[in-house]
Amino acid sequence: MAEPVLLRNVGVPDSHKIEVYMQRGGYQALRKALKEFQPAALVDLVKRSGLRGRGGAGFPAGVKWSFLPKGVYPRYLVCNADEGEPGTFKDRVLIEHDPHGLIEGIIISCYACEVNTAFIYIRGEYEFGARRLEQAVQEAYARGFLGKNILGSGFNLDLIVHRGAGAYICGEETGMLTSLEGDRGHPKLKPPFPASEGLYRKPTVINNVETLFNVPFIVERGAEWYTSMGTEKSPGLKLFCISGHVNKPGVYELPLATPLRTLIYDYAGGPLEGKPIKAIIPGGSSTPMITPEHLDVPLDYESLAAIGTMLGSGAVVVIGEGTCIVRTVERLAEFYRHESCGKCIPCREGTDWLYKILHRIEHGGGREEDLPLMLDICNNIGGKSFCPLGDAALGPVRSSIAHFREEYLQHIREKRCPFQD
Amino acid sequence: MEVLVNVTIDGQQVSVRAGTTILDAAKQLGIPIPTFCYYAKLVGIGACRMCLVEVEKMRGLQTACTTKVQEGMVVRTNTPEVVQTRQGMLEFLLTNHPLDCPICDKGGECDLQDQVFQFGGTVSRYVEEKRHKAKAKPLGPFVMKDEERCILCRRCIRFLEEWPGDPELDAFERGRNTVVDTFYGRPLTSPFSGNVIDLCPVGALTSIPFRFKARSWELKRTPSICTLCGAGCNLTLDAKANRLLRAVGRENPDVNDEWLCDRGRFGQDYVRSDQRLTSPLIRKDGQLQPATWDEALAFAARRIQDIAQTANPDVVAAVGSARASNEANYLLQKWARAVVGTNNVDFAGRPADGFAPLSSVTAPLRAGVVVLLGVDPLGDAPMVDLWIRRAALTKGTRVVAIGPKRPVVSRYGVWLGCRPGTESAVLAALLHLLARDERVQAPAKADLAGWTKDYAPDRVAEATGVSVQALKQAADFLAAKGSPLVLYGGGADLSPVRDLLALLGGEAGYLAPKPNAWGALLMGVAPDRYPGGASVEDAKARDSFGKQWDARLSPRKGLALADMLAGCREGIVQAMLVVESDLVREHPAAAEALRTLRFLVVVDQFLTATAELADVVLPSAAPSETDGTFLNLAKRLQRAAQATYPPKGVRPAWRVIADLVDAAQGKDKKRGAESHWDYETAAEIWREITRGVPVCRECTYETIGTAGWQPESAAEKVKPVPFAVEYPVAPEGYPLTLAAGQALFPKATPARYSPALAPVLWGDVLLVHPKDAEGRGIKTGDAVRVASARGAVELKARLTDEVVPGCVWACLESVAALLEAPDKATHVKLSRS
Ligand SMILES: Cc1cc2nc3c(=O)[nH]c(=O)nc-3n(C[C@H](O)[C@H](O)[C@H](O)COP(=O)(O)O)c2cc1C
Ligand code: SF4
Ligand code: SF4
Ligand code: SF4
Ligand code: FES
Repeated sequence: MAEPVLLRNVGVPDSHKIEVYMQRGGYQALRKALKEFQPAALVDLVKRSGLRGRGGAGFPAGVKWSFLPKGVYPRYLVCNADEGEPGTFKDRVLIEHDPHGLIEGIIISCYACEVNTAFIYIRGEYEFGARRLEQAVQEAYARGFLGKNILGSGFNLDLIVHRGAGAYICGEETGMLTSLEGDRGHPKLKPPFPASEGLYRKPTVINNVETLFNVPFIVERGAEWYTSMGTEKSPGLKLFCISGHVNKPGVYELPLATPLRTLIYDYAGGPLEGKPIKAIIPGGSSTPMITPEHLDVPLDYESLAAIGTMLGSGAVVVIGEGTCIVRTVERLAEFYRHESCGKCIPCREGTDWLYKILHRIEHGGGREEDLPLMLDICNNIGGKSFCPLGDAALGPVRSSIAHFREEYLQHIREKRCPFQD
Repeated sequence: MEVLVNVTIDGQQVSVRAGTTILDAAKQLGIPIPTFCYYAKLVGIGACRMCLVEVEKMRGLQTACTTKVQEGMVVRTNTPEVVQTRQGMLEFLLTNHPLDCPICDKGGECDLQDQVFQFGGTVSRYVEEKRHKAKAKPLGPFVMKDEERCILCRRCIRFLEEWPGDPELDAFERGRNTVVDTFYGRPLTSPFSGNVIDLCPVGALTSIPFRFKARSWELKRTPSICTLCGAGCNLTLDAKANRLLRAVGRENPDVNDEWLCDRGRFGQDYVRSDQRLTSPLIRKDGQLQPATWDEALAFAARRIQDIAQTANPDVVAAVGSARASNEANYLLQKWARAVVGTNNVDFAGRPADGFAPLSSVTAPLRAGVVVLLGVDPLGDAPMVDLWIRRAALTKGTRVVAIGPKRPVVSRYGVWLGCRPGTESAVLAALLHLLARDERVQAPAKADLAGWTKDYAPDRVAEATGVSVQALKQAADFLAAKGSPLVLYGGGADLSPVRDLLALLGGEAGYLAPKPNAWGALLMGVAPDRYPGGASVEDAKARDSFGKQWDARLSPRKGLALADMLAGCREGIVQAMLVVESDLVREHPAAAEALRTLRFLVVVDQFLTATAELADVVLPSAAPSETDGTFLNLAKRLQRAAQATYPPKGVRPAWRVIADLVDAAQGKDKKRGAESHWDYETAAEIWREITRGVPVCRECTYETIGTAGWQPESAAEKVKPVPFAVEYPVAPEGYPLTLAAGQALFPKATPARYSPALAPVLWGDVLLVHPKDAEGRGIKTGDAVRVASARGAVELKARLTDEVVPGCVWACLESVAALLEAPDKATHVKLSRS
């Protein structure tokens, strides 16, 4: 196993404290960035590294930063720590074990983007993480890494930790902004995109925790180091959170394009109780599930897209034989209808309807016409909802009907769930 | 310069302004695209997804309501996918819609019904249980909410945010559980709340007063105007079986855009009050008793004739009304001048000499700063208040409010709270600051610096109670933004107002609180002016009207209203005809004066406090029961059209006056005989008016139409004038000053008779500053006695810092009897009763 990079401080005693962080080389990248780089050069560096957003969509971070309109200030940066996608818990590990790594990444990114006020929007449930972050922010202020004239560079930055109140939609970038502004969290119309008109209608950079966390390493080790890992389109390192029916669920750091099989068998200890794998959700609950025939797929953006699914947030959920797919999808559908913000008709009504049908099938009331009906409902949501949450709700439904149609039909024929005695 | 872009929609080409949405471009081609959340007058949110269309080279479908067209764009609104999407959205909406159309007020004018009919599928595939939510939940006194019908388009939420700036509604919960509600279940209090009923595309928000009274298709719809204030908002009056049931906003960008205030929307039902007079009354044995029209008219005509003959015509006086139509006012002065032979004609609230109308009800939109000089538009002309809010929200317009009571819109600027009667001094202090501000560039600066040297902020602060800091803030707004719009009320001193305009430009106008103040004046309801404004002392004009009216006209100026009332007590005025004016509730000393008359005839819809004193009461029709024209506070000429017939036994005021003349001439009801008083319709009177009044010459009922007509008004150049301000001095024993104004829901005629407004009418309340209440042991809710040198009334105290210390405030109709003069602050004392 290679020397961990992103997770290098995880497991080190008191890794969340600034002394420990600094002893282990922390805040050196910041010094280097402030001393050796002009902001534009940093943006260029990150662009060259090919670092893609780790929040789910995989948009190249440096490219996003370069969209900031010239000469418009103030600008803001918001670190997306809402981590709401079921199956995802990588940001949590970073926040709880290495808060200074995130803070350093934020400071450097703010310097690059000429931002003087930044926020960490952390999901409400991460109370422990929020407290850790707040302590770490205070430590960073005390040492002059935050506040006025950071390390004598003339660069100022304030960093505010803001706790969400428990809504998946607040992880969607515009939903997060409305929530941060004090409104009810709901997505806003794009365009204008946050880069040009975001928080308080000012240019705003939004990046995932893991994305920003990568930045200090790229500054220290260079773009070439980063692109030496992974593929051309998916360079670098990724944190994978694996859960479900495996022996060692957890967060693993691997270069992109590592085969799925390696993750499951070499890192996660293989399937639980040796049960055969029935399905895998490769990138968080909204990504279409795949079947074991794809176990050798490389975990990178383009390879997963090629087989009709997504890398997403890197949350791999392994579903073992003996698990009812209808029940699984019903539960996921329940999540999405619960988290639909209600702003647009297709997602608000469609997710509710899908759940009700799945619930009915699982409980013995299914009809044959329910399968085409569900696919039709998916078509009426897909690409038509206001924000991507609507689309996100469809991945499990469509993929399960594609791969496990027979299991649905069995529920319908037998008027009961065959997995329940 | 306007940039045009070419787009193709469904194969048709069109060039539109850059920035146009696909939806608007399609509209120009007559291509229908269904919408729900879109509303032209609200910011687009693209939420409902009903308007999705295909755009070449763009991935996925696009919302037509928010996507701007681009050069060469190719749009398709009729592809199978678009058709399917519309069906899909409608199907989604109907899954949980209660479909209680048969008992839904919106039925027949519901966007959901219409769109399902036009774009929806035909079968329902939804077999699950429908969601249940609250069915009939009142949101305040006027708006009823049905959560099951709500499609969450957010129009109601957005309206309250974007127009009145009263963000009282929002979406609560989320996903399928989302509901629109107020915070903490509080009632809606926005003065413009009723608009959400018109805006709601479905039956989720309905009108409490109108609920279940009619189906939309049974309504007879009459385009008309509101006559409950000077704004003259355009509305549609809906009646069924001759009962006026509803008023809804009607589009007119120059007046009310399409909104109504809640007074206007819900107050029209006063015509259905069970207190309406439906028979003439004659005082017999000290009691008013029903009589026939013939009897009452003959009696009234004979008595007036007798009194005029035994003394002289000038003992008779006629009082018109800013509430009555031009036609009624015109006939009234014609009656006084041509039949009685006197120029004693006037009305309460006549704009003083030098007063100007606003350039438009929407004038705030063009102002940098709105200066409220002792007025509160929310009471006097709510629609002007709405435009001020809109200007503040969309253009950053600031408000500088000068006066003893804090107007709501001062939240968009600063309130210069000062003791009643000192508003001019406060304005003088602003002039003092502006004349010394380097940002102000005007030739008048030097003069004003001199004239205002006695009005340094600290001195004025001491004399008026205003805060120096607030003065500086206000001067800063004015200097920075310029172009003020000064709104003033009845008693205003115009000299400092002119000086402000000389310094900063902008405009000033009289915020006429009644629907036809300018009309009554234009119709010659003034002791010295004929219709059109010529002086009664002008021999040529007298000749011309004499010929037209076939009468010898008096060359003597008549008595103004205050002098008439004073004259009553001295026998100078002995008989009076009052048309649609509740003088007792509006004018100090009217009650006393009218009691001393030998003969009083009152024409009105109700047995008002004034009518109670009459010898003969003649019931008249409301503006919605006859035709008539009105001149709003911007002198816009508009028609109030007949929506229902008057109740049996009730005649339009103009007809009552004509009938009185017939009765005097001893004619029977046979028309057609040679007479100047044979009017079949109000339109005939209007035609006669246009012959005598030059500005109206080109106007007919047809050209006024439903949109109204605004004569061009040339902006006059203002010259600065020196002025001197007198500070009121409180006489011994009267330490407080009473200011009177109007509430949003006043207890004035006719609003006081509206059943729908009854629960919200301003009670007999006196606003008292806590500091003044303290020493007197007064608490909110206490009965208090407020007394001036003229009399005393009992009111309920409400402690509030909306008024300045030293000032008590009440609605005019509660305290008219105490005032020294209308619009004049009066010294009073206050005690617990
Ligand atoms: C419904 C929804 C939920 C999302 N939740 C998260 C989240 O919890 N964390 C996150 O980083 N991004 C989330 N995103 C993605 C963000 O909108 C955004 O793309 C991301 O934060 C950008 O950062 P990145 O470019 O660094 O990935 C979500 C998107 C959607 C549509
Ligand atoms: S798709 Fe629509 S309802 Fe769903 S979360 Fe986004 S905006 Fe809200
Ligand atoms: S109440 Fe009416 S206007 Fe308001 S959101 Fe619901 S449907 Fe739209
Ligand atoms: S603002 Fe005046 S005219 Fe307009 S609706 Fe209200 S009361 Fe009627
Ligand atoms: S009308 Fe366009 S999204 Fe609602």
